[in-house]
Amino acid sequence: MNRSKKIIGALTFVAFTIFAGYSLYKWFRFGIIDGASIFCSFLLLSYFFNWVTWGDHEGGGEKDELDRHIQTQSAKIGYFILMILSGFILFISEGASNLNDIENYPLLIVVCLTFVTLPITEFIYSRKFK
Amino acid sequence: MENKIKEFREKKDLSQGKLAELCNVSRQTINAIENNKYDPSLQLAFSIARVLGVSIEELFMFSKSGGERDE
Repeated sequence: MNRSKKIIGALTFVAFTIFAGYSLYKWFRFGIIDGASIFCSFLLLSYFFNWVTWGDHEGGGEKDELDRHIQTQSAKIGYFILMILSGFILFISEGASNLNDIENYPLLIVVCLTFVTLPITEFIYSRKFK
Repeated sequence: MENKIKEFREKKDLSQGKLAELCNVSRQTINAIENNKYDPSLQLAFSIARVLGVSIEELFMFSKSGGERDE
């Protein structure tokens, strides 16, 4: 990674820290949860990791087969991590261990969709080879 | 899968970077294949064999433990 790339990566991380810090400050100091700051913080964090890994803030650019392999494997692992995290967030935000006590139905449906999205996609994709 | 890329590459006096350039991949890819961390696609395996002037059978040996490949 050359010098200019390192500087851009560092700047992206600083921008993320500022946005995340601002979100936390508003939350702890005033009890306000700023959706726009949270959104921007996560966007900047994704830009940072994309930049560090691929040298492109959107994860694009020219890739050889090892890069594509890394992307494919990461997508699979990322899917399962997201499935677990969404389940955690559901139970923590609802504070309920019983599924029947959950009131946030949109989030419950999102968690349930994470269970079926991969099998359905695999089913449809497998048709292509049969 | 195990391989003799390093052996044949050194015989041909090629660096990892030069071999990578001739096969249109990155140096990291060649390094990962040489160290059995990644099994190349058939296309890349043929490409490496052609550049090194050997057959696929001479270059790659089947073994149960090997690099990642499950795309």
